[in-house]
Order: sequence, then C-alpha cells, then structure tokens
Amino acid sequence: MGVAGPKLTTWDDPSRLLEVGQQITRSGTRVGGPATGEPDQGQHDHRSDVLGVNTSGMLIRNEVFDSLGGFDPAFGQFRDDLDLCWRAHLAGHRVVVVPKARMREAAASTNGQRSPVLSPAAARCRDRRHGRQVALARCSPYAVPALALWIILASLGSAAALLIVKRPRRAWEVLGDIGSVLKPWRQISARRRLRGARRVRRRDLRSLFAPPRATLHHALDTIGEMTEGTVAFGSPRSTGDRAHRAQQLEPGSVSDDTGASDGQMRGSAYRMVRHPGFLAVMVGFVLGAVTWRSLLGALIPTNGLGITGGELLPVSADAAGLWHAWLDGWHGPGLGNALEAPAYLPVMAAGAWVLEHLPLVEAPASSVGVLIAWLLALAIPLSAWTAYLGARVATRAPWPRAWAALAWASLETLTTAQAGGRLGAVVAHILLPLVAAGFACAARRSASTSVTLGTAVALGVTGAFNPLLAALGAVAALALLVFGHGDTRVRAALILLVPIGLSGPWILRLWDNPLMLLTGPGLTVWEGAASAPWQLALLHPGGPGSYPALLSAPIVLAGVLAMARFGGDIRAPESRVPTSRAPTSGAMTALALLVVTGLAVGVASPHLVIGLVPDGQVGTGGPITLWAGTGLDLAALALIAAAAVSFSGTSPGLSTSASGRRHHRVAFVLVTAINGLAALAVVASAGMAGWSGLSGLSGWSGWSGVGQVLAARSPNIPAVAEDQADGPSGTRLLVMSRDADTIDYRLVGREPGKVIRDLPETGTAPDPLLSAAVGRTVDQKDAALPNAAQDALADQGVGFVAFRGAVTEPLVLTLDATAGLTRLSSNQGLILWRVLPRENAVSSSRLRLVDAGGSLLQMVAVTGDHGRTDVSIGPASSGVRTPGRRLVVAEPAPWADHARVRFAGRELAAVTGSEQPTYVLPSDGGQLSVTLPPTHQWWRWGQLGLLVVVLFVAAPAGSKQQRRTS
Amino acid sequence: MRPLAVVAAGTGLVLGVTYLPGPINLASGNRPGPAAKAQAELVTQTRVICPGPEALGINGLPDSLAQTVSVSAVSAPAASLPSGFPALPGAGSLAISGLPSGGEWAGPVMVRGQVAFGQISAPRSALITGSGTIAPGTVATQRSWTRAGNNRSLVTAACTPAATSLWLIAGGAEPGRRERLVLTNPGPNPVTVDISVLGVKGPIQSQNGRGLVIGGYARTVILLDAIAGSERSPVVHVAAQGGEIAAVLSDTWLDGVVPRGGDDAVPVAAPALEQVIASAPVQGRAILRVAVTGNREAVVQLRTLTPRGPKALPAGGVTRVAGRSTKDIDLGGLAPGAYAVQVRSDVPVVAAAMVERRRAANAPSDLAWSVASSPISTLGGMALPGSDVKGLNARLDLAAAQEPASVLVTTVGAGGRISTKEIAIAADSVSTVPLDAATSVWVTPRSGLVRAAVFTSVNDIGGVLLSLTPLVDLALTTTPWLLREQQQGP
Repeated sequence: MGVAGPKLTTWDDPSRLLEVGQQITRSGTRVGGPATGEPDQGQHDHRSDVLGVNTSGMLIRNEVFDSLGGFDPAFGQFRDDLDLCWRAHLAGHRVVVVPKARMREAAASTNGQRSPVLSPAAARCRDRRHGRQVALARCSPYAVPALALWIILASLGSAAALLIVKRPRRAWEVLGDIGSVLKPWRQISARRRLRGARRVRRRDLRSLFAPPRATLHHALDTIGEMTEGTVAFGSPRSTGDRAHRAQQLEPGSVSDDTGASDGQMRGSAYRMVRHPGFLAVMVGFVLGAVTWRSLLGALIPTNGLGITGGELLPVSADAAGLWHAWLDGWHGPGLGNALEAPAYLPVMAAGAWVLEHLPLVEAPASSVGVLIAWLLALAIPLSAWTAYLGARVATRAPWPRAWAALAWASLETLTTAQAGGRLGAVVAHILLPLVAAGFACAARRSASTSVTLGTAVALGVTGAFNPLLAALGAVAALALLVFGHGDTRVRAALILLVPIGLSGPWILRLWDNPLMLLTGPGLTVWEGAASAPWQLALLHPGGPGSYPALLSAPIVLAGVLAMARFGGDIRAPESRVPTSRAPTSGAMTALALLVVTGLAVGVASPHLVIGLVPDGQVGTGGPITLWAGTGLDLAALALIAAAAVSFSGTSPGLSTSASGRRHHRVAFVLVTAINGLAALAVVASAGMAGWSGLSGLSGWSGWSGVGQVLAARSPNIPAVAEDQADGPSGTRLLVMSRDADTIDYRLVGREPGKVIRDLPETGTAPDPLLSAAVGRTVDQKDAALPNAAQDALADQGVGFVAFRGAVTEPLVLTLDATAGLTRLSSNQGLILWRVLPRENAVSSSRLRLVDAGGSLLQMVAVTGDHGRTDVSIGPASSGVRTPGRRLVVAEPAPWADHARVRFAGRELAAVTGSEQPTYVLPSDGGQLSVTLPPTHQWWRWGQLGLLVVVLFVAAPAGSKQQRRTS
Repeated sequence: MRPLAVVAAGTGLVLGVTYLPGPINLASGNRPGPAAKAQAELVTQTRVICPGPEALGINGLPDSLAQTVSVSAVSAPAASLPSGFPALPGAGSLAISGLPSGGEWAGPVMVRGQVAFGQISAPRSALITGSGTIAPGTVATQRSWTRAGNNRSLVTAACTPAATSLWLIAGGAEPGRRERLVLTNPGPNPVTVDISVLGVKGPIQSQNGRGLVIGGYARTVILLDAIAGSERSPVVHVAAQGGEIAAVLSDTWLDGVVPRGGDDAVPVAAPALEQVIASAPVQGRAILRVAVTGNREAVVQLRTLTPRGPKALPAGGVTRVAGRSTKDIDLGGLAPGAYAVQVRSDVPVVAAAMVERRRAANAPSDLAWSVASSPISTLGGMALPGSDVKGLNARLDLAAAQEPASVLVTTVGAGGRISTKEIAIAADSVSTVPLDAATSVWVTPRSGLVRAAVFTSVNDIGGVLLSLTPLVDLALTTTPWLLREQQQGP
C-alpha cells in the first residue's frame, strides 16, 4: 500500500459526491467517476484500487513519497496527484480509495475561489490538458505518437460535435486538449525524472483504466444529454413533463403534446395509433397513394427517371449537375448563360444528394426527377403533417388540429398543383403552415431565436420556390417591424432580412425583370382557361386534379363565420379544452386581412399577363398568366386557421357572463354545425380520389388522380448520345423538329435543362455560331465545302443530331445526305445521326487542342459541365505542323469572361477576337484546369455562410430551452 | 362585422374580375416582333444523275462488252424561264463529274443554253451539278445509239435527281430479255436500298435485293433476273434508307439472234389516282403496264388522248388490277399515231407504256418505254442531240388532260439560236412539235396541266430505232428553313 485517499464530498452538502478515486481513459480523460453533485447512496463504495486519488485527503507513505521524488513540477497544480499515483503504481505500490473515509472538498481551484486570475473555465481547461499530458508522459514511449494523434483527432471531433449541439465554450475547452501535444518537453522531462523507478510493467495497470466500452457510453451519454429534448412527432414522456414543456415548445422546434393522456393507453404504439395527428397524416398517406396510384412505379429509384407532363419538363439531372447549374458562373442547358440561376436549384440539389446517398438504394439515373416524384407523391401527407404542427399556434386541441391538417392537405390548390406538376406550389403548400405559425410566434413575445430563424429559413425556402409568397411574407415582416415592439421588431427584422440574404445574387435579376417576383417553378399558366371567379372564391384554381368546387364551401363558411367569435373582448376558455394563448381580436383581423389579400391575389392572377408563350410551344403567342392557387392558398390558410381556433375555443359554459354564455352557445351551435359540414367536406373530397379510382367515374368528379397530365418519364434522349455527353468528350446532341417552315433546334448536353416550366427568358439572342452551324446542316447550300456542316457542328461539340418527326420529312433526307452525318437509328419518332469527328479525332468534344493553323491535335477530356476539367496535358510533340498549340473551347465567346483556365499553375488569358474561347498553351506539359467560379464569388460565400449560421441556430438541437432542461 | 367585411370584400373581388374588361398585361415590353416568314429563293445548286453505261459494272459480273454513252447537260435559256423570274446576278457553272469520281470531263459551262457534253465508257455514272446562277433549270440527257449488232438500239434517258422512293417500269419474261437496274448514290454516306418487284400475281418473294448497301458516291448495277427472273410484267420499287438514290431500269432484248432493241426507263410519277403517259407513238406492238402499289384491288379506266380528243380503247378501257400486282394491257389495236394514255383508278397506281417498231416479222426491232410523268408546273426541259448527231429526229409530244392548256415551247438551236413558240393544246388531247436540230427544248406552262415527252427516232437500214423520254418538272426555287432556337423541349 503506497497511497490512500478518501471519498470526497461537496463542501456545501456532504451527501453529494465529488470524487471517489480517479479513473481515466488511456488518453487521460476523466470517465467513470460520480458526476459532480451526485447524491451519495453508497453506489461507489465498492471501489478500492484506483489509478489515482485526489491530493485532498491523500495519505502517502513517507518513503514512497521520497522515492518518487514528490510531485512532478511539470504538471503544476492540476493532475499532479494523478501523476504521483501513476508513478506509485509503476514503482510497484498500491493506490486505493477508502470510501469509509469521507472528506468535504471545496474544489477551490476549479470553482475560481483560489485564484482571482484563473477562471473556473480556465481551471477546467488546464485540468483536462494536464490529464492528457500525464497520459502522454506515463504511457509507453512507443505509444506516444499514436496517443498524440488520437488526442488531436478526438479533440477536433469532440469540438465539432459540441459545436453542432451549440456548446461553443465547451468546444473551445475541448480544443485546448491539443495544447497538451504542443509542449512535448514537459512530458520528456517528466519521463526523465521517472527513469529507473519503474518496477511494474505498464500493461499490468490495464485494469485501472476505463475500458473502451465505458468511454463510448460516456460519449454517447454526453451527446444524449446535450440533445435531449430534440423532439419527434408525438413522443410525449409523461403528463407532468408534457405540461411543463407544452408551455415552452413552439412550432418548428416542437414536440407534440397529445390527447392521449388518460393513462389507459397500452403502450406507445397504441397511443400513437390513436393520436389525431398521426391519424391525419396516415389519412394523407392513403389519399396520396390513391391519387398517385397510376404513377407509383415512378417512385421506385431504380426506375430512375421520375415523371414528366404538366409543368414538369422531361429532364434528366442529378444533384451535382443541379448544384453546378446554380453555382457556376456559366451554366444552364445548351450553350449556357451567365444569368443568375433560381434559388430553388440548390434546395433541389440538396434533396437529390440525400436521395443519391440513401443506404441500400441504388442512386437513380435522374435523382432530381425521382425527388420531384416523391415530393409530389408525398405532398398530401407532408401538408397534413406541417398543417398539424402549424395549427398548434391556433389551438392545442389535437382533433381540431387534425381537422385543419386534413382540410389543408385536401385543398384543391394542392391537388391541382400535384396533378399539374406545379412543384413550386406544392413545396410552398407544404411549408406555408410552418411559416405562418412562425410568423404568429414571432408576433408574440415568446418566440425563441431558433423559432425566428427557423421561420426565416422556411420563408426563404418557400420564396425560392414561390417568390410571390416570400414577397408577401416580407410585407408582413415589414408590418411587424413597424407596428411591433421590443423583441418583436428584432424578430421581424430577422424574418425580413434573412430570406433576402439567403436569396443571394438572384435578387439582382429582379432589377432586370421584376415579374420574376410574381412567379416561380410551375407557377405560370400557359394554356387553358382559369376557373370562374366564384370557383376561385371557393378556393378552386381549376385544372387537372380538380373536384367539385361546392365541396369546399363549408370550409370557407366555417372560416368566415369563425372570424366573428373573437370580435369582442371574449377570451378563450382556459381549461377543459387545452387551448393556446387566447387569439386576440387583432389576430382575427389579421386573418381576415390575409383572406382578403389572398383572395385578391387569387382572383386577379388569371387576369395578369406576365409573358407570352414562345414560338414553337403549344399556344404560341398566347398569354402566360399567374397561377391562381398561390393567392388562394393564403386565403385558405387564414380560413382554416380561423376555423381551427373556433373549433377548439367553442365550449359552452365557460364564459364569465350570462350574455357571454348565450353568445357562446349560439356561436357554438353555429360553428359546430359548419365545422361538421367542413369535416364532411374534407372526408368527401378525400374520398373522391378513391371513388373515382374504384368506379372510374372520373368524368363526374374530374379528379381521376394525377395520371391525367403526368406520366412516368421514359428516356427521351438516345442512350448513346447520353453516354457520350456524360463521358470525357462531353458531346452535345442537336435536337431538331419542324414546325411548318421553321426548324426548331436546341442543344442538349450533359448540363441539366430546365426542370420545371417557368417564365420564359426574354431577350436572349441565339448564338450566331450555333445558328450558322444549324443553317449549314439544314440548308445544304455550300457545294464547294462538302464538310461545312460537319465541321461547324463538330466545332460546337455536337456529336449527334436528332430529328423529332417522321422519316419521310424532307429534312431527314437532307440530313441523310449530309457529309459527316451517319444515321444511327430511327426510334419512336426520333431519328438519330452521328456527327463524324473532324480529322483523326475519336469524336467531337467540348475541348480540343489545335495547332496555330486550326488543325486538330487532340481532344481534351472534360470532367464537368460547360468544359470544366482537370486533366494532364502532355508536351507538344515536335512533329506538329505549326507551333503554338491552342485550347479551343466549344462554348460561346462570353464563356471566357466567366471561366478560369489554368495550365501548369499559370492562369491563361483568352485570345481576343476569337469566335470561340481560345487559349494559347505553352509547349510544355502540365495540368490543365478549367473552372467556372461563381459570378459573385464573395456574395456566394456569404450566402452559404449565412445559410450555415442560420441553420445552426435554427436547428432545434441544443437550444436554450434544452440546455435548461438538460 | 368581420365576416361581413370579408364576405363583402370577397364578393366585390369576384364581381370586379367578372366584369374586368380585359387582362392586364404586365409584360408589354416582352412582346416579340412579327413572326418571320420563309421566303422562296432561287435554287443555288441542282444535281441530276445520269446512269452511265448500263451494261458495265454489273454486281458480281465482269464487264463483257464495251459501251459508251454520251451525256448532254444544259441550263434553261433565260427566254424559257417563267415570267416574273428574278434577274440572276453573279456567276454560275454547269459541270459534269463522275460517280464514283474519275473520268475525263470538259470544263464547266458558264452560259445558259450552252450544252456541256461528256462521254462515259467506264462503269460510272455522271453527276451533273448546276451551281450559282445557272443552277435553276438544269437538265441532262444520256444517250447511246448502237447501230448494229446484238445491242442495236437507241436509248435516251433523262438524268434525274436522287430520291428515296422510286418506281420503275420495264422488262419482261421473254427469252433474251435482260433488265439491269442501275443504282447510284450521289451522297457521301452509305445508303441502304430495298428492291421489291411487283408481278402479275403479286409481289415477288425474294430476299435478293433486300438491304443492299451502296457506298457513298458509288454506283452499282443489278440484274433484275436475280430477283424476278421469270416475271413477265415486272414493276420495280426502290426504297432507300439513310440517303437518296438515283435509279434507272435498262431493258434490252435479244430474241435468239434477232436484236429486239432496248431502252432506259426512268422513274415514273409517284403512285396517284391519275397517271398520264404523255407520249405513246403506237405503230405496231404496244402495251400499257399498270401496277397497283397498295393492297386494295384497283378498278382502272384507260383512254387515249389523241390530237382530236380522247378516245376509248378498243376493249372498252376498264379493267381490274389486284392489289400489289401488275397488269399489261395491249395497245396494239390502236391505229398508228401520236397518243397519250390516261390512266384513272380508284386507288393509287403507277403506269408506263412500251411501244415497238418492227419492219417485219423476224426483223430486228427496237422498243421504247414511255413513263407516266407529272404535269409541268414551272419549267420542263431536255437536252437534245442537236445537229451533231446525224439522222436522229426528235419530236416533242404534249398532252393536256381534263382542261385545255397553253405552253411556251423554247428551243435552242445550233449556235445558240433561240426560238419560242406558243402551243395551245385542247382538253384531253395531244399536240406534237417537231424539234429539228435543236440542242435543247423547254416547256414553260402558261395555263392548264400539261405533260410532255420527247420522242427520238432514227430510221436506218434495219428499221426504226426509237426512244421516249419524259420532261420532268424542274424546281427553280427553294424555300430555306427558318431557324428558331428553343429554350426547352421534349
């Protein structure tokens, strides 16, 4: 026996533990001991042999102390006891803790009482660091490098994890561990002092360290504590806890209280099945499955192509393609452009990326297409879910919330958007309840920063898909900023500014074309008449996926009548029905205003012409109007919210006065009757899909699922052309079709095209070189140059030419007879020719090396869209006909303004006056890299940075409330 | 109050938009300009193909005899061009080259009306290219005149542009009758050709001639006997994939030791309900061959058009032809004279006529195929032997069906002397114009639908040699495509 120590208890309360011996990991982290302040119930009294004991109350034999040379000065005040005990072990002495001996310990150093200079945090930090240093000094010298590396990695990993759960100070403390590695001389001197004193092999001390499993459990417990309270749908813990949390949680970061509080439920599964929110979502699932019945196959990722029809264009795209379409300075289908890409692209890219990385599922060929299919297919249950969550600000009562959820999920604004492929409308419909609930919270005094920023992000995402809603949201935030007070103004400012910041440079495009604010992906109407105004007033925008308008009349009536209830100073009941804070008259007025605003936008939309259908499309020259559903969605939101409030708040006998009670009774009867009708209407409209699906009476209901317009996409580009486009040559396909005496043409390359129909771009002139190449191909005028068409096409990187039409078309004969074009196939109305490459090339390519005379030397592989590459180029061979090789890029001339071409570490400048971007390459070999940095690079970085910060703060994990509860 | 206000506002909005006078255009600045209209332009390049020596280059056989053909090409003189034809600035040329390339050719002709001349003695077709201002109205004729021997015959063939679907009518099953199909690919890319033959009893089932690949700028000659050796009334369809093809069916007949002549049959007018063979100078044996290209049986009405109006055939002139079948109708009962033959049917048919000249039984003879042609809508023309070839006589036969027609006939004589004559043709009748020593003849329609053919003959010691060649309608203008770049598409 060399060293013995007592059980240490806190100074203030001797029944609470501080330390019962010291146990650490191999790397010097304390684990396994009692938590500070843990009640002492003898649970650690079984301990005897430990690695170390605290200096406080330590008993050590004099000769042992002398033989060990006392405390090592390398470790100063912290962990010198651990070092001493470790050395005692190595010298062959036992170190034990004697729990029967108790001692109160003030822990003055770590509490900041001993030294005014050393703060408690700094003391904790030093304690951790010295623990690491002791471990480094006393472990096997061979293990030092590995241990040092482990300490660095573990510190970084732990710090990152702590940052994610919003513990920046703790993260900083953990990062301090790296300092233990940075002062090796301490360990060396400490190790030298031990020289010759070791009697025991190090591995004999193995049992004194915390086993790896305990270390893992400790880490998991720590993370669990920090993230405790992060909520899942319908996961209440106990009634008392629920009541406490119900006062604090809010939508966006919320758990769900439940009506299943009677204590008679048999298990959580049974409780969940009876949960109104769960039931509403499940009904939504069934409804979604029935409406989507004809397209269920399109949801299978291995099919991989998604759907097309309506507003959805048949485009194949993956996450990386869409991301670059947004990020790169030169992007877009065909020859590309430098216009700022819409903000919904990165959101879609993120979703597609997740889809591509799902475990056990093969990445689909067009992950974006499959993502859209899933989004549309799940629109009804997702809308029900978000509406259920969002309805919490209107009422806590679960059944009215479930009613609101179903009402919201079966609105015609959603079913028509879904059936017409109006993705922008669908995403906005899913997010709108959360945004509205966030606004309601921000208007109150209770909203946390997390909720505020969550609302801002939700508004930003909604705005990316439906800018009009973002604009209206900005107006609402502005109103809150002006008329609110105190923190409300700060929250309003955040909700106003964060979406603007998140939209990034896209906002500049509004300057050129303010009409883009009114519309978004799939939010325009190119053909077909809109519903009659009275149908619009009943929330029916019309189109595929419609059902009889009168079915929605009860919802409208219920909402309108509900607005009467809180006209006076009547307060909402405080008990029985668990309602939220009393909706004020002001809130109802705001809802009424929202109804009128939404209705005004809705009925006006079909009369607002924002563009003309471009030539070559169905309905050429016809007006493009706004889709009415956006405004109607707002009106519907306000009506359903008002009805939900009314639904839960009507409880007779709760008013304070007799007249109030009478008033309430009348209102209760009226509103309940209307709500009953509304509920029936929801059930009827929900059943419509099943009815029409089973009976085939789609003619009567008009709602025969989504298969009216949408269809599973089949490959529209021949596989050989797609393969070459995605390959190193990055060839393009020139697709042509005939419309009377006009040849329509467009280039299809590896770049994803427009995914969803939007407002057509105006004022973009066709590229003269491409136009000339197509002209040479279709009008074989130049007899003197038989290969003119072939060369012109190859210069544009065109590897294939396709004609969509009958084989008997005159143009087919022309193309057949064109030198350099070889017909490959004729399938399903698409005739395909291969463009023979120039000279000795394998195929046409985006990048090519030519000599000064323009003769092809070699093709250069591309690795990304629009000529992006990073490849090695060998030195120029001495046999070239003329010196001065050049890199020619098959992109339009303005591409060069956005590209960064580096060769052998040097940036190259484009040759001025070239028809196509051309760069003179030195004759030495080197690495060629072509990148397309964002046009507003720093703005883009700022945008991404803002997104990260906002998402971090908005994430519910590690919120202030959780820190309190944990 | 609040619900009332909402209802009032909603009603007001609904009524407001119901009575809104019109849509509010927020995109007035985005209105596109007026849609561009395609404008017809003069053709700047024409290409016609002459078959070359039909007996040379037979697929799989060595060339057993020598043959030389001559090619004359000419561009329409300005006087023959339709009125309103714009002035032709700039230069142009008319050149002959070989397909496959090779051969010796005179330099290109730069003047309208001037004949470019060439001779071919190798298995090669001739490509006549008119470019620039000379391109509109380019024609060429191939001619071979064998005065004696087994191959005694006069053969003329109008050189034609390539096409993807061609019907050719000639040939028979008599011993010593030989049909050679000359196929020429004037384009750079290989063309796949399917040859099918209709016969009296329906389509000839043969895999020979299917999927025949003809390389770029290549020519091949196929013996029809390989596909339909014993068919007494063959009608050939040539369908090309991957490009266009030019085809001529050469029909020669050696009856034992008696040469019975021969002729080249150029593609007939596309299947239609009405076909008119502009020239059938019957004098002795003559047949009309009709083929139904579709599956339905045809009821065919036949009549001849004479200088004095229409005249029924001796046998009544109505016959049935089974679907996908051919039928020969004897015209030998007609009194000698200039005829046109009109064929009307209830389903699309193709037609051609063969006339023969034979001085006496067992004497040598010559035959000529005259094919149904399309009406001339802008300009028709043909290069003629002129006075350089002694003994040859040429005659222009004009036929107007249904309504009277008027044409301007322009001839270019030796030394470039141009003469024009307006000819009126009564309805359902024919008219003939002697061409003397003209080097080219041009028919410019003024009114009515007129078809024309040139009847070339020579009277030598063995009898009359003859050949018949239709004048095809020439495309003088073309409408270039308008181009439109699309932002998005299927």
